[in-house]
Amino acid sequence: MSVGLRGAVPTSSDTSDIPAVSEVLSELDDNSLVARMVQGDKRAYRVVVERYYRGIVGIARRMGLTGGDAEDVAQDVFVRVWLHREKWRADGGATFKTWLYRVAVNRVIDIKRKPQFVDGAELDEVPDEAMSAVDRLAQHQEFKRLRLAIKKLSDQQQIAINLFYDRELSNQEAASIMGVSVNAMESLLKRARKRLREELKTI
Amino acid sequence: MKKRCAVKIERFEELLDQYGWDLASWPDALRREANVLIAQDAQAAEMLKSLRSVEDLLSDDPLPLGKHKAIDDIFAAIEAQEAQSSDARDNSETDPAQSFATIDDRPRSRAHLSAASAAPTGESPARKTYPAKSATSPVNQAITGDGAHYGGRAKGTLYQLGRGVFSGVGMVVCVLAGFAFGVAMTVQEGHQVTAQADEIEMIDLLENHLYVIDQMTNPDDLQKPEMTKSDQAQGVQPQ
Repeated sequence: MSVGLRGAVPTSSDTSDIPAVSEVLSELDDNSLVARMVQGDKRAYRVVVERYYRGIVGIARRMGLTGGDAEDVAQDVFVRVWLHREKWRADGGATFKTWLYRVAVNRVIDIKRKPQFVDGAELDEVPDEAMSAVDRLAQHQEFKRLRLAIKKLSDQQQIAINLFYDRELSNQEAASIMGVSVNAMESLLKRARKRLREELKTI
Repeated sequence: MKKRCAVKIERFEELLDQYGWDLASWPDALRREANVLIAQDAQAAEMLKSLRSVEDLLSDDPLPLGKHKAIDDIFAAIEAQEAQSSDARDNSETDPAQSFATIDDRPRSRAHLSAASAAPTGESPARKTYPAKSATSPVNQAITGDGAHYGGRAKGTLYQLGRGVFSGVGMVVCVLAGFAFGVAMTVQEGHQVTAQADEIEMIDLLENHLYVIDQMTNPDDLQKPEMTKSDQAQGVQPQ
């Protein structure tokens, strides 16, 4: 019985090739994987999901969703993308990555506009086990202050901040997701930083 | 000197907002001036430190590990959705009235992955924050629409449009009915007013006529006094 990434799996002529196929697929770029995805290749799509799942959940959390809701949004986004994969157009101008993030950001915005949405992001901080209790409390307090300050920014500034500081995204990608130029994005960031510094002084 | 430093502090603050705390990302000339100012001015140093702590918090990624199980859940949801869609297509072929059943193709909450328990509409009881119905996305100027590449909401949009059209037609019908009713009531009231006016005129006429008749029939009013011969001789006019 061979042990793969998903744990023990029965050995067969088909399943024993799965890890090898995954390794080959993981070396492909986005365009190649998406082309296979459009044709219905779920293994290729799984590589895509593994590649971007963390980033999509991260941006959802950064935009104010709790852990569970952020994962739900990620699941929603990836399921929709698969079910409507034939509608993807590679020549539309945006890369698959920026398009995927844009779908996720729009989905989070929709959820946050719902009247029953409860912003509990400041309650759901993952404690750093390497820190002492005092340090964890201090960090938690800092997060709360920062979340409160971010909420006072305009919608555009919040999105710019959340995208810019996402380590998975470059400046160009963040601007592309927002549908603005890099200069416009930097202008938003400038105002957002200024506002954050002012708010954090008063809180 | 202090005035010059104050100006520089303001400029330094602007540059911090524009480029961030990391001086490595600043233009070379500005970076050199900033380093000099930070070395000489405690306020500038404090500003830099403060912004750095903010940006470190912003950059912190609190996502826990364990993504593989969640990805398995995603593909389980895909399987469930595909099974549900195929069942809905089969049902729609036999029952045209259920053609809108496949419009809501959004995945359910993870608590409702099994097709048997998945409801066509309705909020998930497990997570109050997860919408069950297609939300109307507000126009967000910061984000261009993803509809150019993504038509996944077409069926949901059609359903909503149909509902909107029906409700709009209903509203128009109600407005027209109200208008017609109002016009009818107004006309009827007009007739009544006219009738009342006519009646008043009739009453007036009758009253006058009766008065005249009374005048005509009252012997005291109608009978003139006879003139005596002596009155006539004296030229007395009859009263």
